[in-house]
Amino acid sequence: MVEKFLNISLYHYLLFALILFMIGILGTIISKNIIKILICIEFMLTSVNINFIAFASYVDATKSDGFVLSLFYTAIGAIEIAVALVIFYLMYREKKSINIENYKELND
Amino acid sequence: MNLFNLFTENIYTVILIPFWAMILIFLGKFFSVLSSKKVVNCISLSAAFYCLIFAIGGFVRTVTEKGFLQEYNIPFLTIGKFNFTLGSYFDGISAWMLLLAVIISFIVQIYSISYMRSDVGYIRYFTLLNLFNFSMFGLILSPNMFQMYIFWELVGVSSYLLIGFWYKNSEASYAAKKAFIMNRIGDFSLLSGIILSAYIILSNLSNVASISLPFSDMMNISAQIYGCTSDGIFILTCVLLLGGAIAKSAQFPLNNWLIDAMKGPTPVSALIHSATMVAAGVFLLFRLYPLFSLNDVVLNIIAIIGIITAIICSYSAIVQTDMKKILAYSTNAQLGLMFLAVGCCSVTVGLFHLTTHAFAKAMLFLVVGCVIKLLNNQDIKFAGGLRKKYPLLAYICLIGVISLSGILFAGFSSKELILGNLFERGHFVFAFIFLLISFMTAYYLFRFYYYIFEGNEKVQIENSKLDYTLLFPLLVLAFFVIAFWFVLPKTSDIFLKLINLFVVLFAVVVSFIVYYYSSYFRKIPLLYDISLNGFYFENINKYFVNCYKMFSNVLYKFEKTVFEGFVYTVTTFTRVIALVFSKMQTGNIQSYLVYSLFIIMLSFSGILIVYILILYFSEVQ
Amino acid sequence: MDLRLLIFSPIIISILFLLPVFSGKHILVRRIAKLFAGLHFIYSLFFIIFYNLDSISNFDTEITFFGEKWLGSLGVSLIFGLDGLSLLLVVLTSFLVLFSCIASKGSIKSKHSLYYALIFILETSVLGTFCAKDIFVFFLFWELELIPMYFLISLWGHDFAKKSAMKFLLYTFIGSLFMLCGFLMLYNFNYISTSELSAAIDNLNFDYESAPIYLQVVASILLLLGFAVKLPIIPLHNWLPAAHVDAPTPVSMLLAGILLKMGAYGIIRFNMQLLPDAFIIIVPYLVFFAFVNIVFAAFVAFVQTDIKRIVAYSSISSMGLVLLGLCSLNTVGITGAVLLMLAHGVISAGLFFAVGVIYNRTGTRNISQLGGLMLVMPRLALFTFILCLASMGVPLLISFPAEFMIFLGAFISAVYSNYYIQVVALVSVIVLVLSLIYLLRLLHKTFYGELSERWLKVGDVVTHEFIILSVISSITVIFGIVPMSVIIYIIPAIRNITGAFGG
Repeated sequence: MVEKFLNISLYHYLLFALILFMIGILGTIISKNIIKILICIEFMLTSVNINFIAFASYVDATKSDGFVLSLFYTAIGAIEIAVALVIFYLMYREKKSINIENYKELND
Repeated sequence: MNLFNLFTENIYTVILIPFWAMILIFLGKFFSVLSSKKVVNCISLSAAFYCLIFAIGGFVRTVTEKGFLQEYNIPFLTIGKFNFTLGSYFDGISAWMLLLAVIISFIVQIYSISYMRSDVGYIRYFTLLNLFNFSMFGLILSPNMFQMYIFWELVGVSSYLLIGFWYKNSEASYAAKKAFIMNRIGDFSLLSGIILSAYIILSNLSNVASISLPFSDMMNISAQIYGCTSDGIFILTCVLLLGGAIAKSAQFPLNNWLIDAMKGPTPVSALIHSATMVAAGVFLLFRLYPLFSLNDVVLNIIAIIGIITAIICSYSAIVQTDMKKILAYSTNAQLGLMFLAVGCCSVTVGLFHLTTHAFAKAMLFLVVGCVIKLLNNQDIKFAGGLRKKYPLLAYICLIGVISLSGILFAGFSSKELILGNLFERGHFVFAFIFLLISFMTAYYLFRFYYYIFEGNEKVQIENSKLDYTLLFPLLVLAFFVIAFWFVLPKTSDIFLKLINLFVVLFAVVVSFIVYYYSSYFRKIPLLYDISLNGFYFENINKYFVNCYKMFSNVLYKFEKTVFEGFVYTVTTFTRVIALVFSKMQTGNIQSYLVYSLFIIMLSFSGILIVYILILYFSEVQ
Repeated sequence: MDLRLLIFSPIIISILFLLPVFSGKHILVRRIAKLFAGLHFIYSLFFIIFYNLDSISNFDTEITFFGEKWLGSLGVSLIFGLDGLSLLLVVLTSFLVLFSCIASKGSIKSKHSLYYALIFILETSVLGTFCAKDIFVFFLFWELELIPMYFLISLWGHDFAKKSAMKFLLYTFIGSLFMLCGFLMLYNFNYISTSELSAAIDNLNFDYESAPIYLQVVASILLLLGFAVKLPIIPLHNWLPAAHVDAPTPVSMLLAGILLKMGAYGIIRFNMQLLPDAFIIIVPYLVFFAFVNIVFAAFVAFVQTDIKRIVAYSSISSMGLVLLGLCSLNTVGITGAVLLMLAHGVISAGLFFAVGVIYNRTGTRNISQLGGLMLVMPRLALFTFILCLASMGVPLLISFPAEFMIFLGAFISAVYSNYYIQVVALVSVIVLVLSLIYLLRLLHKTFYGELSERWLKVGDVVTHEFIILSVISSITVIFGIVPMSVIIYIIPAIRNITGAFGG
């Protein structure tokens, strides 16, 4: 019984990543705060990252392609956050608000 | 004889000359040189005179040479086996009719010159008169049914244009419209009949070389049509052909237009709506008699339609007070008698009656024209006592009335002929009704005469002089009315003569009594109303017109709701969809995310379903 | 006689007009346009003179580019040629373009050079449609005609011009989509049967194995849908009254005079000539539609209050007669139909022009506000009378022989059982009465009766209007008296087509 619990397979990782992804999506859709949305987007990125690592170690552990790619993702995520935060800062300067409801210029 | 050859060989020019006269007068309108009245008179009268000479010349030839025939054809429409031609066909009947039409047309033109002198539409009037002459002569000289139809319509058109000559008058406009529509119903029927007969010949006789439906071969064609059709189709063909004659001669179902047609100028009424055009229906019967006589049912239909018309119109004429209306009803009734004569007796009898009636009635109309000129009114209640001032006019009118009633002169002979024939062939019922009609005819004609010329003057007459150009035509016509008396054949049956005379004289006396002691007579409500309103044909017409309007409106509603509505639905549908999709563009970035996710999931699930299906089917196989 | 010059010279002139040199010089532009249209008309008359009646196909030309066919790899080439049918329609087109150029004087008030450029593009496309001897070239010109027409209606029209132009465009365009499918099917039949790519009308042939009859019927119906919109056949007619009413007068003349003829031309050229067996199968249904066209439009015309709309509906009714003539499937009926096309082209152009003159003078087209105009416009009244009489088929005017032949042809038609078309033809003759009734209403409400004081100072026709009306009226009279002079050109072309129907 305990063994069965401890025997962590690929599917467990994938399930975990899926749950994380769902949380990310839900958060992106629901939350009004831009920062929160950004965090949720990062959740999704992370879940993809987990998928990479899981596949990398379960399919062919001898090659390190998957791990390298996940490192890339982490770097990209960092840069993304940096750019996003600058944009948010500019947006805040414009409207004194970080509520997404106030940014509907696409409608016009 | 050479001279007469010249006339008969070139008889087709009688059709063309009025046409060129029309074009000349018509073009003259645009050039000031030709537009003076004198030039117009000159052109028009010389054209009419030319026709007169040729018609007389041709007539003499046909009289002197028995069975004379002259046919002249030029191709008009040649296609497939059909070879329709235009031209002229000059035989006894058309010579007689042509002479009649030409004489009356010539006289009426002379009369019109002074009658229409002060009218602004003088040139237009003569253009149209020549158009009428062209079409009428063309109709009379038709060598085949096709040309007959062409000119059949053209006389209708010219009649329409002349009835609506005074275009400001809304009554005249209405009358013109009505006349044209009713005539067109007849044209429709005639055209269908012609096409049907052409079809019958074509489809049943494969060896015919060409189809042109000539009158010269009418006996043969009739036999062919009769031989290769069932009775029903044959009667249908005949009735369709007959429909044209019914409309043109204002017979029973379509009789109403002739009365209204009197809104046109009086000379036009004299020429077109009493003597020539309305007689064209009877002329068609003459031409198609070989066909109609093959089946008794058709002849009976003709006779019954004629007698119904005669009764209705004679009865309606009794209480009318409009002079022209009385004469119009009388014309209509006499046309009915001509139909009866053709249906029950023979072509010649009908032709005689047509001739005597044409001259007398044209004369009466011209007399009425003079009276209207004098009184500026056409109600007989305002007329009276004209005999003292204008004895000549009164005597001419009396000649016409006597002749039409059948007491003396030409009308006497022709009526007697009809009556004699009816007795001879055993149509006793018709004969009895004929006597009744004679009675009514004499009654209303003498009433007409008494009211206008006897008694006391009721209106002061201002322009008291009558032009000689107005009187001369009347004298000529009076001469013809008397002259024909000696020409026409007479029956020897004294008994019939006495009966006829007795009935008519009795009517004269009754009419006299009713006129002088009118205060003793009272109007019988229903009978009087029926007569005054001419059996309410006007109301029936109005009802039909309303139905037509209603039906059109229903169809237009249909057009609006269904076809227009279809377009509306499509556009609205597009607009609604567009609206929904544009509403989705909220600008909220999160909703876009939702849409894209939705679409992605939809497509993924789609792919999945397809994949599963493929798997499933591959396993099944 | 070069057909290329005839077809493509208008479009060259129109490119010339679009040059900035001509902007603002509207009198010059109009003069050049009239001059050119006149020369073009005279040039087209030469084609009649040099036409060889013994041969079916005259003046065949093929345009090549450096010795190469246009789209030669697909079997498509720019071939043009004339038979009697196309010849007369070409002359009619050239004639009406000339007259609409003259008629533009009073009714076009802005953007002159663009206007005439569009007119000439239209002329090229219509001429190309009538002369094309290749199905894709035909389709190309057919579609090309939509562009100038759309702008002509929407830019110079009145009332709801933009809406009507859009309606016209959409209806015709959707119709021609179906038509394109039909053409592709024909192209494919030919390829399967002969394994050669060819789209030339004369070379198309297919056997029943590769093109079974039901597929032919489908192709025929698809083609018919495209032509039916143009003709128009009644459920698809909705664009016509709107477009005719809202277009400016000269454009209405062109619309009624030429564009409606393209539909009938297409039916003769493709449905009858290329797919005769399929056409026999669908023709009984078509007879019914023809009957509905004739009667329905005539009734609807009677209750219209807009004089231009009455004329528009009368066009629909006349086109129904044309369709009835085509359905007869014999030489008499189809010749009558073609003659009626020509007659209607002239008459309806004249009537639209006359109605346009009334609108120009009084500023209203409402029938209830008019009346008594005979007093102030006697000449216009005269010409309108002649045209209306011609339109209702009075003998010795041009449409009488046409209508007579249509009825006769429908009557003697031998392809139906149970006297079906005979009964329809017999009932359709009633159109003589119906057309009379609505045209009389038009005449009497405008010209008869008392003149309202508002119109006392209305002027009669001026010179250029007089020329147009008198020429059109005299054409109706002259060709009404000698119809054979036109018919001899039609018969050989029609005989060639009706050979497939056995007469």
